Amino acid sequence: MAALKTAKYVREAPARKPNHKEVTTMVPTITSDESFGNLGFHMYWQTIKVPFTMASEPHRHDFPQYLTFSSFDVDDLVNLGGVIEITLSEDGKMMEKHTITKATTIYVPAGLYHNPLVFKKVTKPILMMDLYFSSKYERK
Amino acid sequence: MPKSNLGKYIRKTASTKEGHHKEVSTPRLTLTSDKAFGNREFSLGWQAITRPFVMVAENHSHDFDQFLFFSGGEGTNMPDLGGVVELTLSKDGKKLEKFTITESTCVFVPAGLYHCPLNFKKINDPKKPIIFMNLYFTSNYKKIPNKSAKKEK
Repeated sequence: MAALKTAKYVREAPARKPNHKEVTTMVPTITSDESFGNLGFHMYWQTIKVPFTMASEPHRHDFPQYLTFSSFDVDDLVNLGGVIEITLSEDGKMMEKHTITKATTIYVPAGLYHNPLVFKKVTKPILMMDLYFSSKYERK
Repeated sequence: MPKSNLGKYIRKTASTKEGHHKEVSTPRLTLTSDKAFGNREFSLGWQAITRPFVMVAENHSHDFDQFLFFSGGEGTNMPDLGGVVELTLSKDGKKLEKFTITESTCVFVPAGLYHCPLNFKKINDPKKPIIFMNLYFTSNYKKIPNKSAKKEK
């Protein structure tokens, strides 16, 4: 894909190593940096094949984040084939645990406490996408 | 899921909608950041492509930015696309450049960049489809046709 003028708009094979030992595949990722739109977001997606606690500590950020969960079963993207638990809190004190069994999006506005995030049961792979609007990921 | 004050931050089933293409047999999942869900004025849709077809034939542009993602549908090896995708881009709408995509790839389509046809040319194994994601930053999706482009066969 060499000398085409529009090649700067195409990025092949962006992928990184997973952050969790339970995720065994490379993780496709995209950063909208100055040379790729400069929209200030970062996104990655990964498949979850075994139950585990992805993040145990409640935390918040200065930026909004969207977490999506869907099935990786091509015949049925909607039913997760698993159970996910995620805890949310507006004040960091009253912690509310949500149980997810179908394709779901979590909107995490700046300042909303979230986690633990637990993949409680996985009977078929789950596709998780994380989209956040910051060039730098920092927890508080 | 019990009643919660924080339910406003959660949308179940990711707004399942009927797809626009008969070749896509499974529901398309979408996330829309509207006023009640962050108000970032973007939409993200994702779907599994299990067989070859031309998804969009006409070369066109928009007045908003868009990102197209192609990755493999095998959970253990997403960077392997598992097929061949052809996408045409053009800055001026006249010189059309066709890209052949065979690995996990992102395409940034800034406002004004002409793009398409988008052709899912080959799917190696329907059980390992191409996962196609479409992220665009507008609440009002409109195509601007390229009147000077010739149809590509």
